Amino acid sequence: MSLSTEEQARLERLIDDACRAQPPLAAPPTLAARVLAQLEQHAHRALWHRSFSEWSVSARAAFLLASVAFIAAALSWSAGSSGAQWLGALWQRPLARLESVGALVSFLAAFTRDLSVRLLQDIPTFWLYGACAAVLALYALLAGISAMAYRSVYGMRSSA
Amino acid sequence: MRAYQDMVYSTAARLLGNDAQAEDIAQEVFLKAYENFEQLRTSATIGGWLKTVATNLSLNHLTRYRRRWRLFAELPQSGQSSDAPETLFYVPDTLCDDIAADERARRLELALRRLPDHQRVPLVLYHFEELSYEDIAQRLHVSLAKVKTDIQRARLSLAQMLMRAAPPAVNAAGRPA
Repeated sequence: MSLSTEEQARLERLIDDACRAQPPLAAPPTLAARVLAQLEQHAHRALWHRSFSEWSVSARAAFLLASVAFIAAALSWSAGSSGAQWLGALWQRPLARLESVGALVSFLAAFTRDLSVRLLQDIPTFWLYGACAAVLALYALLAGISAMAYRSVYGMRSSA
Repeated sequence: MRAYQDMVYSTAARLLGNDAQAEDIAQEVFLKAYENFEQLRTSATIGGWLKTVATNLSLNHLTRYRRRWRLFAELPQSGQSSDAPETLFYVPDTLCDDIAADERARRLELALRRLPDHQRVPLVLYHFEELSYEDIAQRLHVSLAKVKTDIQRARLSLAQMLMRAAPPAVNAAGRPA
């Protein structure tokens, strides 16, 4: 349908007037209670349910140290004595120079890079490709299940 | 919170066209406000901040969830089969001025909900949130021409639905009086 410019302007004015005169919708009476309950629940969350940025500095440092220790233990276990030697050398090399935040960041970046290279060297290619294929297959499966669920639930709702 | 809850809820409900989702979004808005309580406590523009967050969260919800699911199933929704109003329509001089204000408000809300998302969202952004066509196109990642067309069609559909609910007086020539 085509309207003249004048009609379009009149229609815009009519709708605009109607919208401006529209009072706000009343929020459901449950909204305030829901927000307060959520805040209450938020305040009493366990540490591991909070985001990392909300953790105290000591908790963050302890977590990082524990993670590094866990990786080191896992690597030593999987790579045997050569892995343990590599880790020991890597850990001792830049530790003495961790005087600033920048040094810590560069140490962590180098550590991550070296660790990735080491892991890629140690993990057999078959397992790497197998893991990638498994992730892709699971993703495709999830997408398929989601599509089926959407079609059945949404389709039923639309036709109801 | 009570001073702003209707405004926040209205913004979300009109954009989403769904009460339950609007309540979820409103809850999220107030949780974000609580996280920024120190910053907002002394702010004179808290109402604007809440409205902006409600709009952003609603648009994120629409783009992130609904469009993703629609990729899976190109199912037409009831009432969305055609964009263009199907009958000839004369633009009246007034819109339902002869009925009570609260009844007119109720009909307008109902008519808004019956619009398809791609018409309702730009219309609400333009007429309720007072964004420009250019801003709407940018926010919705669509062309300026599409925004203008969708809003124009939404206005026509809205006016038709309102007039259908309350037919205007017609003169001898068949045009609205």
